[in-house]
Amino acid sequence: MYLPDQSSIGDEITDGESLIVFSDKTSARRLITAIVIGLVGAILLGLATEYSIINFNQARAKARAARESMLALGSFVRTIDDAENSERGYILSGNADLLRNYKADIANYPRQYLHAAEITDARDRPSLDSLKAKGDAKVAALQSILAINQARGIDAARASVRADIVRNSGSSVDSSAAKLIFAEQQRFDSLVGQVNSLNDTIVAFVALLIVLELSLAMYIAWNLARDQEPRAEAAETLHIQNDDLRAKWVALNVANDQLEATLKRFESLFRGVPVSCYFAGPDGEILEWNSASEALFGYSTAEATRTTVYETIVRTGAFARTQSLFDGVMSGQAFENIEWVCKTRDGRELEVMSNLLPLVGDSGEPIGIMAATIDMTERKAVERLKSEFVSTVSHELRTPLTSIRGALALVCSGALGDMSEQAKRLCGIANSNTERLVRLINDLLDIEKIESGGITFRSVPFSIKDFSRNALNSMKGYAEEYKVELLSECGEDDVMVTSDPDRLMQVFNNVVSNAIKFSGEGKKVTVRLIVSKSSVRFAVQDKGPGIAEEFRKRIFTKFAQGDSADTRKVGGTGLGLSISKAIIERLNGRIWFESGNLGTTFFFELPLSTERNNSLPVDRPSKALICDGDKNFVNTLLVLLSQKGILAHVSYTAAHGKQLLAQERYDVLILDVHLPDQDGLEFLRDVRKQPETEHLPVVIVAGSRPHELKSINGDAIVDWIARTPLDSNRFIDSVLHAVSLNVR
Amino acid sequence: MPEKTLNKILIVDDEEDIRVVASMALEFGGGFTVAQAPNGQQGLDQIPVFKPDIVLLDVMMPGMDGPEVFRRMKQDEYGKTIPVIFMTAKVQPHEVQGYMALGALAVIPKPFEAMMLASQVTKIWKDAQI
Repeated sequence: MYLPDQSSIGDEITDGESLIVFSDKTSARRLITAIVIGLVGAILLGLATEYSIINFNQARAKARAARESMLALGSFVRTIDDAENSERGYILSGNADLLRNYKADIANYPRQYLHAAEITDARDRPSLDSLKAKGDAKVAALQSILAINQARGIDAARASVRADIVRNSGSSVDSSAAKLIFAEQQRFDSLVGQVNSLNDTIVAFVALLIVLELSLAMYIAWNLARDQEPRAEAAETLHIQNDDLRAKWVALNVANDQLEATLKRFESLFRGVPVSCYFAGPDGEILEWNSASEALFGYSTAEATRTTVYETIVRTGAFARTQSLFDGVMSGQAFENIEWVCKTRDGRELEVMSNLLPLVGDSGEPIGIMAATIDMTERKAVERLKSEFVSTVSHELRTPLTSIRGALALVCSGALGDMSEQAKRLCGIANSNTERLVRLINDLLDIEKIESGGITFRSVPFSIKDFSRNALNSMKGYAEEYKVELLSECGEDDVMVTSDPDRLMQVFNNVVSNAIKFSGEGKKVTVRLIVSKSSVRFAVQDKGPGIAEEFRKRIFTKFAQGDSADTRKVGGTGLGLSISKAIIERLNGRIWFESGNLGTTFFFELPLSTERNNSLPVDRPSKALICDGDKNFVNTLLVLLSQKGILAHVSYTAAHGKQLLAQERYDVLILDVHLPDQDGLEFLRDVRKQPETEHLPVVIVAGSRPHELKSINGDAIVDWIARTPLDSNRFIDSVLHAVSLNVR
Repeated sequence: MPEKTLNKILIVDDEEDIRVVASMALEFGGGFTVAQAPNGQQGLDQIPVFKPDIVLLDVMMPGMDGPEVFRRMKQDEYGKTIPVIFMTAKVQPHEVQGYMALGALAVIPKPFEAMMLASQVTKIWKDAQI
């Protein structure tokens, strides 16, 4: 599963960003300068253009006014001319329509004058006034002709007209008007010139503006182009980083998916497994709680996860043991097959067996406790029933056997009179089979007791060399019976073993007697003792036919015997090796064999006591009593003891210590010689007077060793350890040794 | 304590076959005078009459069991002077410790070896005399 390092991803992103920011700084400054210059130029040019446009508009308005003035003056002059022509025509032709036209023109011309006066430049006002005067004079002359017509008749009027035509009386109006029109024309032309020049100015300004903005745009483009190279590099880097990030992202996603799938699988396993499982924090707070836990203890997951194991399933009185076990787990120890009594939600007591394992965090340190627990109530009940059954059955079998065996022995002995040879032979058969039945019942009872733990194994130190000498001597008679030579290759190596010598002897006898039985007459059986640093091992070698291949796998199972005439002939119950295996395993040792055509070698070995000290039997936690007045020192000892799963009670005074010793059975007493209410050695003398604590192993944690120790059963004082500095390894070793000395 | 010869043995056992075999083994093997009682009460009744030197007492008996018979013997002025050997199939270590704690002289496990019974009892008797 690939999981990229997330911190390195973050670093690369930061590097990429800083690169981009760096390349932008100088070019941005240049660009901002150019844009400012461009904007100022554009504003100035815009203002100039605006001014020119205003001027342009004014000039254009003036030109338009001059043109209209010219048209109004023309129209004024034309109206007077029309009036004259209409009158003349009327006078000459007598056409009344022409008279009406004349009157309309006469009525119209003052309005036209007013219009022309309105729009004509003020500077031409005198000329206009003179034009008006001339027009008025003309109109007066025309009116006079009409007056003549009315007064003196048509002919006189006609004569006047002709005379007037001769005088060209109307020309003065036209010339005045022509002068005015010319002046307006000149003004108009000048204004048009002005407009045209302003137009050119505006075009120039706009062109300048375009050029400026184009230059600016080109400058910006050039600048951008100049920055393109570092940008490209940065882009390339970013691109690579991006690809890398994407790959990591994909890998992370895949890993995440896998993690989620695994998590789901484990979660369904946790929920569905029919074994109570829960996770607890260092102080016993329940973090996870599965369905089997709900069923076993009666607390729902919601209830359980709000509280601690102490408030739920731990029985009053079992707090200290639970705490010392949990402390042990938090220091990294795993405890397997711990049998204890818990309580359920409705207050029932429950015999259970638990495995307690440390829950390890990322740093490898324990961060919590994982507990798997099964209900032992039924199993215990069945075990008790089986045990009672086997015990009863074997008793019931023994009673009739006692009579049969006794009667047969008496008859066979001949004490009751002589028998025929045939009767003697039959008696012998009955006798030997009775013996076999007796052994069978004894073995059955034995293996049942070993397996159910109903047997107490001693733990005493003994010399392995002495043991093997005694064991070989005890088998000599048996070997002679089978005409087998029993050889010893035990050497001079010796070591003290702490174990149960009687049970080890039982194993030795079983294995050696098998070797003798299956060797056959005249063969040799060799017993070797191998002492190493960590163990003592016996090797029992025979020169028999070897063990059949198909039988090897089940040789240690009950009633397993090779199925041949030979094996039936040698007798035996078929339980010897399974008893041996059960015993050796209870003694923390192991048993195995190697077999071939040339014979078989059985091995059995025991670990040496220093090794055994590291693993305490967990069927009953060892209990220590600390009798010490110094609370801080006691706390140190409690931590050390809890790491080894040893339950400890504390008394700070001698009086309380005696009280506890009277109430409870302890495996070891850890004692200070200076108690607040009594001298420690006096206290120990008092303790020795009580039969229950006469041989209680004691570890004294104090200063120097006093002389009077012998008088207070010094044999049971395991060690005398200095308080400061406390050698914690030696302390633990001594306590474990003391615990192993006490008969459990 | 002057050495006293072992002569009379009382066997208290509810199994008749065992009583017969044990009696014969003791009579033939050691030449002892043997009396039998099929239960605890009759055993207690026979003690002042038969005046045994030693009692072989079964543990598991209907009615009054061996340890109870033993306790009653010890309450009686005459009975408490007579040594008792428990002869039983119940010989687990803690059971044996229990009989010894009561004050038994010894424990002979069943099934006993008939041919060795007389010498076994004699040895126990002699060890107790020293």
